[in-house]
Amino acid sequence: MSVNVQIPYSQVHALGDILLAARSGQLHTYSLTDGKLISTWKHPDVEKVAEAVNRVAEEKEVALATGAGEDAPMADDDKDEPPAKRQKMLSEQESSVSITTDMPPADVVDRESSSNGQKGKGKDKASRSRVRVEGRAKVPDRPLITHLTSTADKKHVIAVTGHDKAVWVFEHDGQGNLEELSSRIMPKRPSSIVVGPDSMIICADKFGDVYSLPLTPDPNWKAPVVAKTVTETPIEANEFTVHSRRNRRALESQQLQAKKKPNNEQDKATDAPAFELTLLLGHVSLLTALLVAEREGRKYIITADRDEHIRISRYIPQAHIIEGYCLGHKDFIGDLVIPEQRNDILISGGGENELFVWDWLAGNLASTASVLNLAQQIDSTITKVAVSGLHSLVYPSESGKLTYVLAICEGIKAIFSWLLTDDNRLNHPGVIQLPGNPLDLEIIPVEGGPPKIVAAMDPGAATPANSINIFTLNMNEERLSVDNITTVEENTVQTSDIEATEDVVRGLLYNVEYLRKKGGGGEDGEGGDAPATEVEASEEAQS
Amino acid sequence: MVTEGKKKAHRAQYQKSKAQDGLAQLPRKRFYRQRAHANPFSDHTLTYPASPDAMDWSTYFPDYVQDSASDDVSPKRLTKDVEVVDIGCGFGGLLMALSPLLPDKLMLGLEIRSQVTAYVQEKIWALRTQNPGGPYQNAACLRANTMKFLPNFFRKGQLSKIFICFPDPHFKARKHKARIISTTLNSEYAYALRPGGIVYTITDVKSLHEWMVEHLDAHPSFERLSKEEEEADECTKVMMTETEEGKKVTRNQGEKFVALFRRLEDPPW
Repeated sequence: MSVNVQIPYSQVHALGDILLAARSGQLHTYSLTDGKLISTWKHPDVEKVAEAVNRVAEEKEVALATGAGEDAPMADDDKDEPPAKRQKMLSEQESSVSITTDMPPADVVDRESSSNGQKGKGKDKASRSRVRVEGRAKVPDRPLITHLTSTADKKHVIAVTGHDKAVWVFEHDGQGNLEELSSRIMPKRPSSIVVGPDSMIICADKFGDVYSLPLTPDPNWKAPVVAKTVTETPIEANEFTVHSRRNRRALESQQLQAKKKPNNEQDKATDAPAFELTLLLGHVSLLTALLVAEREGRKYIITADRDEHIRISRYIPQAHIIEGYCLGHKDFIGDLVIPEQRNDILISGGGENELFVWDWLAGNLASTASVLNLAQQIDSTITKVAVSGLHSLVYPSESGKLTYVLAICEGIKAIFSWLLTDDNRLNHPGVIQLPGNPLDLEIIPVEGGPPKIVAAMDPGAATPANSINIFTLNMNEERLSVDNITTVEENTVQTSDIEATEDVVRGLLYNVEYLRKKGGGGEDGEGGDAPATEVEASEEAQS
Repeated sequence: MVTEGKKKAHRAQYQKSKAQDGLAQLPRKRFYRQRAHANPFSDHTLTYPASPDAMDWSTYFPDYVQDSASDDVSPKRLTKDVEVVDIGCGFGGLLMALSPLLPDKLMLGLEIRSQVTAYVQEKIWALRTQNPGGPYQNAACLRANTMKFLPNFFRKGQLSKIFICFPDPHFKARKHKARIISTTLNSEYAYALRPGGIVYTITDVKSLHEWMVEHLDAHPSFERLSKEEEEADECTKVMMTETEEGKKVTRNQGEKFVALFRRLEDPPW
């Protein structure tokens, strides 16, 4: 059995002197002046997970003692509410092998016959293997705060939890105390969120759609009554549209069915969200990044997807108009950034070896800069990079304010930095080595001095390092380097809900590389339905 | 599947014998059949240009390649741009009929199924060879997933006509995002179409027709053409009678629903 590690902080966001940091389903606020913990918010599911983790641990002990295998937990699982949808966890399959071999084969047969209740055979198989994966599979979905942002006035904090697709809004009192105002469940899992200049929350999801929702939901808002008084499902096909004999037969039986069941409309209306939600635009691809940008007094929405597109749309209320594209990437896009003080420039990076520098409104590529070369300075065996985060900062130097671009890559223990020159190039590459894999960065401007960087890191199981590190920056021949490292007093209370095996942590926090297309992803030449990519398949399963 | 191997063998044999003939024969459809549905969300193994400028059209429209003094311009430019697009062209009936009708416009069929694409490409090649100096030089077909990659092929405002003929109806509500007409995809068609350009839609499924009308009508960049304008458009008739699916529906005495939409100018802001 693998050893449990603490789920590291994966999101950081600063509000002046207050640092928001999220680990698993917990949101902590720290004072940046003394590093003290101010407040904690927990996702309601946090308790459930903690309970389940404890229960599983107990059961394991019992099971070990009695040698009963995994049957006992199965039984009481049925009493619980139906298990939440499992998140994908790649490496669990491997760990499952050792477990399954422990089980006597008779056990398997037995379970199959007993749980064959309502589900179809195929589905049952799937769920069975799911349960079999591990004792811990009975832990409900781990809550994970995937995004943190705030309004420009710092009075509201917005958090996204991935496992339940919820957007949470908190009121911030300026002292680090958060009050939960609302939570709204989005139709699909959000993949990026920003707050527009008009305090609209703009949210991109993994199904490719971008929605806007007001910061504070209007309690009086009602779903527009759709004038669909048709109670029975209209049969969309007719004798003229189906041509094969089998399809005709299917149609006949459909028509019979339609006559039989007069009312079944209750479960239909549940699809519509119970709050104001406006569809702005959409890609037919997983969205990975979202920005709101302004140029020459006009506002734009910039979206990037897994299929190499960067799209420039007008801002609300004309978000349906596409102004242009920045095309040229040949692999997925991981993140976008518009550097401070240079709103004409967009920098994008993802599965490719380079960062791209764009004149985004014209859609022209200005230059590129290699990330791989820098990564190989850390580890010469690296052959590909997956840029997971892009940031920018302004460094006050004697020669004026310099704009730097920072990049982090999944699984590479470093922050890479470049100086953005006036002719739109990324020069003076620098490497800041880290004790762990960076998960998120936040830049904290310091009055009259160089800014600080807060890095949320995964220290890994081997090194019990801090998950949050605060760096003071230094400049050396226009390359950025680190001067001084401090940290915050991380939550010393050991709670079981932020503990997980390394595999689970990987499954939760490392999924950028996963966006890369697998070669030969399904030739449908012989008429087979090409398998959807796993990402999309899982998205479909959610709907 | 049991028949799979047989089908493949037949296909291989056909390909072999075809190669021996040396004559430009029209391909036979039976060797290119493919299941009518493709998952538009899948990655497939598509080749597509990174951007419209990177697209090499010279192999698709060899008669229209620019005679530039320097041969090292890569990719080679055409004397004119593709202007008419048939999304989901199927076996290409519309393309073959439109080609002589719009002789000065380059038209392209886009089809996601590889076998079907191959059929249309071979048919065009055969027609070109059989009619030297004649029509069909202005028509071509390539395999693409337009729902994902339309902006990779066409610049803003490059197109004047987009045909969407007998698309996959995707009856299930949860599959509606896979429909070729949707609020969000309409924005992409508006991007590729020039103001005044026209989207032609035709289907034999009434509810899909209503869906397409509803969604294109609701999109601020499009307005529906009146019945008179619809009938006056010469392409409407071709679309009704010449598409393979249209012929099939006629054979079955089915109904056909047509709707045309004009791309409006973008509002100022």
